[in-house]
Amino acid sequence: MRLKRILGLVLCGVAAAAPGLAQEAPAKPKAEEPKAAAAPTVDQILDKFAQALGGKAAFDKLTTRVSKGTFAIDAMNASGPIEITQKAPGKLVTTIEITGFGAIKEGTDGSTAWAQDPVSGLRDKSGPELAAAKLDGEFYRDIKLKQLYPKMEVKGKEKLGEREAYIISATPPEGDPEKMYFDTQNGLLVRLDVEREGAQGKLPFEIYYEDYREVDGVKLPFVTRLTNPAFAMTVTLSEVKHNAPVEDAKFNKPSAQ
Amino acid sequence: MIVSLVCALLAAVLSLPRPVQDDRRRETFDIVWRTVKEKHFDPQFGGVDWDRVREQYAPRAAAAASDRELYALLEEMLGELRQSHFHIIPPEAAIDDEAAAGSPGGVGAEIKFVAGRATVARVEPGSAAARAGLRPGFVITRLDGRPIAELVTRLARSAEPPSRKQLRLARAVQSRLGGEPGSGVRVTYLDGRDREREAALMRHRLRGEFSPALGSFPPQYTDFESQRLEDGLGYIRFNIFVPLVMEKVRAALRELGDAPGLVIDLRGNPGGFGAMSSGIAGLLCSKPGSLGTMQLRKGYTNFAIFPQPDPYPGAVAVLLDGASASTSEIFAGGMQELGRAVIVGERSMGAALPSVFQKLPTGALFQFAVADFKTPKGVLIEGRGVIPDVEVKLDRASLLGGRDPQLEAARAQIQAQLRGLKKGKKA
Repeated sequence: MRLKRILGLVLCGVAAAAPGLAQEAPAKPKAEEPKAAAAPTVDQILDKFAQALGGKAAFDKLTTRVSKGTFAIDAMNASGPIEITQKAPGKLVTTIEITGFGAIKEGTDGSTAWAQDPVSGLRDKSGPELAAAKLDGEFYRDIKLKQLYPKMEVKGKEKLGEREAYIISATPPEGDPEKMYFDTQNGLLVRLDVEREGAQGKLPFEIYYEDYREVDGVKLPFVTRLTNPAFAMTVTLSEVKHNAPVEDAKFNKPSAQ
Repeated sequence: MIVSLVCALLAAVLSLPRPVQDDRRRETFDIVWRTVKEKHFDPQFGGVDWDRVREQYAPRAAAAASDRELYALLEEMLGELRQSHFHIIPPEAAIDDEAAAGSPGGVGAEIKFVAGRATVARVEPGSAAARAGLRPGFVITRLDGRPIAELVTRLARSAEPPSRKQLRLARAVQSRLGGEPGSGVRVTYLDGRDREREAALMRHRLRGEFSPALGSFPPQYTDFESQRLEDGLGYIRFNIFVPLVMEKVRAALRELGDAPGLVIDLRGNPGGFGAMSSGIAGLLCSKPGSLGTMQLRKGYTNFAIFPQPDPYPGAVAVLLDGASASTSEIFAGGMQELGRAVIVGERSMGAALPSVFQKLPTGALFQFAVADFKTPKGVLIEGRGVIPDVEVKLDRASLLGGRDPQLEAARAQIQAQLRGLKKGKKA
């Protein structure tokens, strides 16, 4: 889930003016009226999701995660490395390196959040953007969605390609409701629709989670596709390591350039 | 055996029947039309009936006998939108860009169209142009015997706005002056007394550098200059907004931090990375703000200003001319409205739509705008341009006299501001 902020950063920070890309947005799924009798509750959907990921006990054994991989913006012909470092309970720093542009970094230590890139420089996040960063930084987010989103509602079932997904509308403490799509069969989160507002604007994103793989007893999506009406990016992880020592200082706001 | 196999394959490809090529053209047409239909930031297309446009152009596209013919037709179709940043860039143009990356050569003369003529606006000291006696104000009439007037006549047929034509003309002349270091170019020109002269110039490596490619965005020749002027004011000029420039701007501002005023010269700057407008504004503004907003079909983005530590505190003037476009306009228009800079020179081009590129089946690139841009007060820059606070035209007589009336006016504006500040302090 944390990757959506990177797309925002890339869109606002890099592509706003020139380099290009364009990818066909996936076809809009057709909404079906929920069948009241068959529709599971929010708790049932979230429990199934947590179990599908490996369950709370498996997550409780983990305290840090370092994920490495690549990102690609096909139509722009741009790609590069990505590194995501997380530490429980709420620390996160993400770095992507774009050739010809430099490193784009953003992070949160659980109470503050910041972003830095070679063009805009260094900045603090505030308001809804800070709230979203903290939410994304939650290490155990996927198994504590009910606590993180005060209002959750089942909105029915939709066809996503060949599969079906239950939809939950989830409203965070700050910001617009998000739409979460859970595979009716395996229970996994397969898509998330969000509209995030911050100093750099308000943009809708569709995020697709694919290629879930088990690492140290928990399932993680190794491919994440993020799309926006003007932009699309794919992040593919190649390596995930848990419980490696990570210094708290790694999440501190860096110094200005 | 392998060679013969490759030859056979190659022959097969070359002898493919025409319909395959036609399919690619049809697909290319469809992608261009549909992309506009689905992704144009304005679902009303500015009042243009886009479905009807398809009806008009699809049969003509189907009849196109060559890729070149198709590109001309697509340009015409996109022209119906009457907006900038909707273009087809043929594969050969993209190849030219790549070739240019390896040959950063030129003669050291900057060309602008002044009163419809290719006029030398700047000569780099010590350059081939300087050694050959070219001076600002001289008018280029032929390059390697080919009249500049030919270019003017050819572009006259284009439906583009005059400011854009002038920019393209200036670029065409500039690119003909450029080439591999060590190669020659014969320049015919009118000197200060309108006498026709000719000089054989050898191109050399220019002082600038090429920015690294960023995905599909090819390397760009980047010329950056900063100095302290005689009156103590700072001066920064760069020819394009690419990330490479950012660190140079930071360094220049550290160097010029004690200058009471700063001139940022964006004349002839066609834009580049839009985010750089915000980045540079963050080095000049002490309060958060916005240079304006891009409205996409869904959502919007701000050109947000994030003040960086120790922003430059002095007065700022920005120089513009008719060839200043896109990011130059976003920066200047926003800074003008925020009251952080006075704008001097000529009205900018009015081409400020943020755009992206898509590769088409024929190999061409399709540039299309994904958003409009409005200043903080809601002024649409597209088609209007940034109107200077102080309008000053560049004229040949001034150039011949070794003067830059636009820069002089910018300096005068800053000095007047500084005097006003002093008076205010005394009062």
